[in-house]
This record gives sequence, structure tokens and C-alpha cells, in this order.
Amino acid sequence: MSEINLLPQELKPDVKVLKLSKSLRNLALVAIILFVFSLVLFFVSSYFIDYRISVVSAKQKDLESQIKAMEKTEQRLVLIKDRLNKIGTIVENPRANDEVIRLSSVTSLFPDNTFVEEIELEKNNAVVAILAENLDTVASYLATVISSGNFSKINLAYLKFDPEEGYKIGISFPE
Amino acid sequence: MIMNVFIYKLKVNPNIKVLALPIITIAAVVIMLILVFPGFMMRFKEKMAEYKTVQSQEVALSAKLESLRKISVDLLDPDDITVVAFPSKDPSIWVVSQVRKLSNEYKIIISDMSVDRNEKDENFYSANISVEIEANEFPGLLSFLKDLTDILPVTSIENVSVNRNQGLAGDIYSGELRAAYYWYDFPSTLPPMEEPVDELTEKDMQLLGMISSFKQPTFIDLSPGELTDRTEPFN
Repeated sequence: MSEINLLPQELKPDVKVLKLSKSLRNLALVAIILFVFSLVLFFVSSYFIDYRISVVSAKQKDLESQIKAMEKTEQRLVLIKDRLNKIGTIVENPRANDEVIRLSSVTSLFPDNTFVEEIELEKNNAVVAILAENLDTVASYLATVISSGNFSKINLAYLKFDPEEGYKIGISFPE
Repeated sequence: MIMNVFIYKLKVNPNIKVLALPIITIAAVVIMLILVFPGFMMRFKEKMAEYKTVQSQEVALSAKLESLRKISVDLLDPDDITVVAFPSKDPSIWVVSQVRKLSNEYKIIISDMSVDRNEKDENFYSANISVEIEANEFPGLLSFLKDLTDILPVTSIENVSVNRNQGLAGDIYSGELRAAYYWYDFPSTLPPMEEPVDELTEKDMQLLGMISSFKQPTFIDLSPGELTDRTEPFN
């Protein structure tokens, strides 16, 4: 059955405009579908993210309670780390403790008939003075110290002679 | 239909009439998109950011729990040696006791001993102990000095000055030594829950091994005694 158009002919739109209108209607339909689809997508994804957040939050709370139960362990660890950091700072700073060790390695090289006259230990420097009866002993001592290879630098601080006591030689071992 | 009647009544051009509805619809969708879309996008981004935050926190907490579970209980002995090595209160008594003990061991005579507090450093408090010493023989003196480097609390020898003198009973080595010792308050707060556990490093283990070999001060436990009646209240 053919359609009867009751509108007057002057109210009939152009064919081109009708085509454009049809295209625009299709476009509008697509726009509405896209709009509705994006709305649905947004709400679904929002719901999904909310669900994931609630799941992760629940897991997080469980982990927090487990960590809380191990708080004592953490406290001990934090304390040990704190103490060790501070001890490390002290040990790494220059101090005369190393010079005491160095003094001990020097004294093990003393020849017979020598006496320690004086020791001065401070950060990064050790001065040892020995008294020897003759120059041969002094020379032998120096040779032993040098050949030991324990010291990067050896300075002769002084060499004195006293007819009653003998030769007094002061050597410093800077860091 | 209503629109057609409305347009007809308004005597609108039929071309415009057929175009009006789709154009208005498209315009409405575009306007809705312009109005709604930025808000939706912002909310979506916020939710995503929140999700990423909780997820990263969960990963951090899991890692922290794992680290805490791995920590050896032996390392965390309650009678912690690190606390003896670096106490929270002034350990002058411990240091004096250690020096006394060593001097007895090596027959070193202490003629004078004094303690001075230093200015507070950035990392710790410190004090110096000055000791005037006398020894009859050098090896004993050297052993005394060597052992003094290996005592707890951690002590740093600042300087040592010793001279040999002639005494009535032979040679006497006399001089002075100065050493510093340290302390600082215990940490009062734990790091935030999400922060990873700062585990012990190789260097920490070496330090721990080093101080474990040091001589600890001798502690005397005094157990509380029973209360007794005082028969003579003014005595």
C-alpha cells in the first residue's frame, strides 16, 4: 500500500535535503549508541575498579595486621640498624686505635738491646722513639722496619746521641 | 509528529523541518558529551590512581612481610650486643670498669682517671676518659692498649703519650691516654608501614662480627632481697 502524503506540495522538502536528513539521522543514532555505550563502559569499569580496590584494600589490611604482629622483630631490626650505622660512623672515622695496632707491629720488629723510650699515638700518626746502644742496632732496626712493608710512609723525626745512654731515634709512621 | 505540527504551525521551511530533529539530536549528544565526559574522565582517572596506589602499597607490604619473615631470630637476640656497643645512656661506668679490669689484668697502675663530656655531635653524644698510667714493662702496656681497642662500649683512642723513666725498682713507663666513648637515644619511631624493611647488609654483618669479638663489660645482677624486720629502728 502506497503512502499518502497529506501535506501540501509546497511543504515537501528537497530530495537532497531528505538524503542529508537521513544521513544525519543515522549519524545521530550512531552518536546516541556511542554515548550510551561509553556511559555503560564507564559505569562497568568504575564498578570493576571499585571492586578491585576493595579486594586489594582487604588484602592490605590483612598484610598490615600480619606486619603488626611482627612489630617486635621490626623494632629489633630498626634498633640494630640504627646502632650499627652509628658504630660504622665511629669506626670509619680516623682514630688512634689503628695506631695502636701499628705500634704493636713496630715493636715486634725491635732488635735485641733496644728500649722503647717514648710513644706518641694520635689519629693517623704514630711516633716511636727507641734507645739503642750503637748505630748498628739503629741501622738494623730501620732496615727491618723498612723491609717489613707494613708502612706506606716512614719519617725520621730525630736522632740523638747521649754518651751515657746511647742513640735515641724517633720515627713516625703517618697514615 | 508533535514537532512536525509545531513546525507546520510555525510555517517553517520544510527543508529545515526534516533536518531539525537529527541536528538537534546530534547537538544534544555533543553537548552531553562536552558536559559529562570531562567529569567522567576525571573520576575515572582518580579511581585508576587510587587503584594504582593501593596496589603499590600492597606490593610494598607483601615485600616487607616477606623480609620480616626471613630475618633470623638469632640475630635479634634481646641481649643485643649492639646496644652494649652503642648504648642509649651515658656508659661512663662501663668504660671505667673496662679500663680498671684491663689495668688489673696487665698490672698497669692508674694514678688518675677523669671523665669529661663533649659537645653533642650530629649523630651521638660522646665523652672522653683520660687516664694516667704507669707500667713496669712495655709488653704489658702494649697489650693493655691493644685490648683497650677491643672493648665494649665502642671506644676510640684519641691519643696516647708514654715515656720511659728510671724508677727505684727499674724502668717505669708512665704517660696518659685519652679515649672517647659514645651513646645516643634509641630510635623512637618505626618507619612507615609501607616503607620496605632496611635489611642488614654485608657491611652490617661485618660490623656485627667485629663487635661480637670485643670484650663486654661484666654486669652484676642484683636480685631483690627479702624484707626483714628492723629490730632497732634507729640503728
